[in-house]
Amino acid sequence: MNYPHWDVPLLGGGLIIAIVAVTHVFIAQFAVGGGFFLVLGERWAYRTGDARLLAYIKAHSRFFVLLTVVLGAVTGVGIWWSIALVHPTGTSALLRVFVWGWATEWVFFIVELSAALLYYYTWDRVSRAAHLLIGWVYAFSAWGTAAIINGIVSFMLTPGRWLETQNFWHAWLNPTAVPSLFLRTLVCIALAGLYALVTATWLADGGLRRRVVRWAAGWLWPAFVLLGPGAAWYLSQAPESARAIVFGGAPAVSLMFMVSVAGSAVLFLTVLLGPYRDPASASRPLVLVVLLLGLVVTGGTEWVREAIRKPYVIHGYLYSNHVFVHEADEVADTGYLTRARWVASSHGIPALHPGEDVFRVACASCHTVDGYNGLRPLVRGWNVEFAEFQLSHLDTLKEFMPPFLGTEDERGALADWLVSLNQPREAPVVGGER
Amino acid sequence: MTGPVVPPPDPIGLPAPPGLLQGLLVFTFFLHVLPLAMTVGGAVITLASEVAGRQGHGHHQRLARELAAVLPASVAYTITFGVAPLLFVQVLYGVFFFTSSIILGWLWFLMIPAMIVAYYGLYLVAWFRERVGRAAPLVLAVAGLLILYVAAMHAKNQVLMAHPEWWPGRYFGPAAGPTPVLPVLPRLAHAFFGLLGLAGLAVSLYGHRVWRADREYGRWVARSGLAWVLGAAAAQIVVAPWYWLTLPAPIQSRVLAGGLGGGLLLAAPLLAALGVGLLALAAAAMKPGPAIAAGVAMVGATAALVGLRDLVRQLALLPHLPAGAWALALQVGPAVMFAVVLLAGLALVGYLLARVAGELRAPPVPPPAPVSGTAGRAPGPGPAPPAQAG
Repeated sequence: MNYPHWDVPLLGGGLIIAIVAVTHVFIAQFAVGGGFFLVLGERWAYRTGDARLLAYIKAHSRFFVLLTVVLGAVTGVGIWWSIALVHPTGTSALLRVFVWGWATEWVFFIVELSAALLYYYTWDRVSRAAHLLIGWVYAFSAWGTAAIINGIVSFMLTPGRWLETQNFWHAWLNPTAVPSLFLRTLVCIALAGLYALVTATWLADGGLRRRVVRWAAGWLWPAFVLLGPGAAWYLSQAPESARAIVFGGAPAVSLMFMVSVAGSAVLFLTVLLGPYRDPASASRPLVLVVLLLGLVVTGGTEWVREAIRKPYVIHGYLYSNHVFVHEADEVADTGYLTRARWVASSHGIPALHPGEDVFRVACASCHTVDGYNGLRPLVRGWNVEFAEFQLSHLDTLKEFMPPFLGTEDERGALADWLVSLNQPREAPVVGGER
Repeated sequence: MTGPVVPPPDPIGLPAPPGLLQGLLVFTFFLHVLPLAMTVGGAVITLASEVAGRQGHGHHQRLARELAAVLPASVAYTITFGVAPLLFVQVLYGVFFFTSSIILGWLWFLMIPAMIVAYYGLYLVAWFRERVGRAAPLVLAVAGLLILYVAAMHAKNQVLMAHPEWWPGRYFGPAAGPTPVLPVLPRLAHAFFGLLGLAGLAVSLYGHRVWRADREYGRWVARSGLAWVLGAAAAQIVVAPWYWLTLPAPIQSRVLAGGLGGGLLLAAPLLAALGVGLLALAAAAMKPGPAIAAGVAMVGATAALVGLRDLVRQLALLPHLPAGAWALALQVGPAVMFAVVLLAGLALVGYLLARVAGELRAPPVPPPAPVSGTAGRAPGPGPAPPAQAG
């Protein structure tokens, strides 16, 4: 409402965030688990005196650096870029609450990066003890970055006592922080094994390949056993509204949740009954398909995690359409447009339709017209009266939607514009274009 | 009519006094500039050396390889060190920064894929040179252009955020307000030649270090770096005043009126000139003392310019800052956590670097023995054959 709107046709800003974030999470969680995989693998090679295993770990570290230090790190910056473009109000609020948390995470980044580069570049050049120490420093600092950002992400769903106290520690150590960190740690460990399966199936040495495949596949056991209880713990700490959304309140979210659960089950069973039980069965195409499935499951789970927070960006504090909960009554009195600074009409530019300005302020942070979460198909068959009724009861008819806080005129204009989306277009009026 | 376009302040107060956050912003931006110089200027020098090396000059070939090997790490530190100043600038000036970023929109967002492609390009040249073959200059050129794009967008955003009066026109079109051409080029050119000069300094200092083991090559590298410094300094004689003249007159006069601004404005060129002179002296006599002094002077000039840059930004933005934007909601405990972790983290990295340096200086180990146990000093198995894994 206070910032201009970044218009992303078809995809919508939300999907841009999702694409960048899912890519990042899928690599960054590997960056955390993979650190432990490397250092434990190196130690295993030393203990068994296996030079070929050590050569594999070294080659895996090259793959690891190329993927995590470049794509993992830059997509992390990309999340920041995209959330600031799509939801500057929410980003600003998070920065104000967590600037010291992020600054602390930055220190962990420096340690993590330094250790990762030292680890890679000092293979064969320093003592084993020093190299292992560097590896441990990397692994724990990478986990430290995850622990810090986990507190910030989980805060958005369960700000807990922060809503009353505005206290940093109440924000960071919020009700879902620990269960969420537990879940993410399990996923990090599993992803370390999953990515290692990919590099292991490139090994030419059959014996070594079987040993590494079985070892890597074994890294999925903790998640297989504990993800279910962990997810139940997480959901038990989530707001009632979030559980309602997962369990039927929003069919698309429930469906995605089921896809995520089923996909995880298929993934674990495929790896544990396949490569783990019979390492010789691990083929390159199979592990690539499983990795792809891992990406789908990660995407689905992250999507559900975001969706159950609706209608908020910060639960109970900031609605997804940039309106603070504490200012909702005031907005309801004045409407959106008198407060909005970046609507065309307030800068002397006529909107094509008055309702379009309302759409851009109240709806466009989540909806596009024709693409992702597109309104045109959602309102097909609506007439103005029905649209007005829907808008008047938006938050009660759909729990995941914020209340419509506009004036009667704004509601009428928006309803009229929504209905116009599915009406035959009139010939363009000369001089009417913006 | 800039009032209505600047967003109202965030309801949550600043977690620390603005002075502390501004100090951290300036300090961490200064840290960011050092690897940034190696990334931007280093990419240019590497490309030039690569091209010259194709003409058969052995020293150019060697320098190109040695610089290319450093570039991926310098990009990594550029990005990582860039996180903190971006954090503090958004906390202090978010109402400006977010708005101008959104107005830039896709131009701003496309920095992310540009960075990824550039970064992988540099890794290609550094780690897979044999496979890249004769395409190395092309890959370096593409990576360099993409890095330049990233720098240009940062410069553009910094210019745009300081001019709220231009926002409506750029967002809605000319009917909503003025849409002047943003004076990005002088700002970008000033930064570019500054970074190129710093990279030349690093190359020259590297030449002095190599000189101890390889006299001829070391001298050539030291003088080659000096040549880049001289070229960049000559360009700055034109570019720096050009950039100064693009600043709004009230800001110019306020910088000149204040003791700090005037001092920084005077110190930067004086220190830079002193550094160039000392570096020339050092390269002529191959003396490490003047070379180190030159480094201190030129890095000092950089610090002065970073300070001046922040002062200019403050003068531009503070008149537009909405009332209450810097209200305080102090967070003492989290700030202490940051300070403790910062000290511990730097100590840990320092310890690792010292330990690695110590072991690298130790006498070479005998040929690889079969690995067993975790004790002792035995090397790993050497590079894995590419076909084996990864």
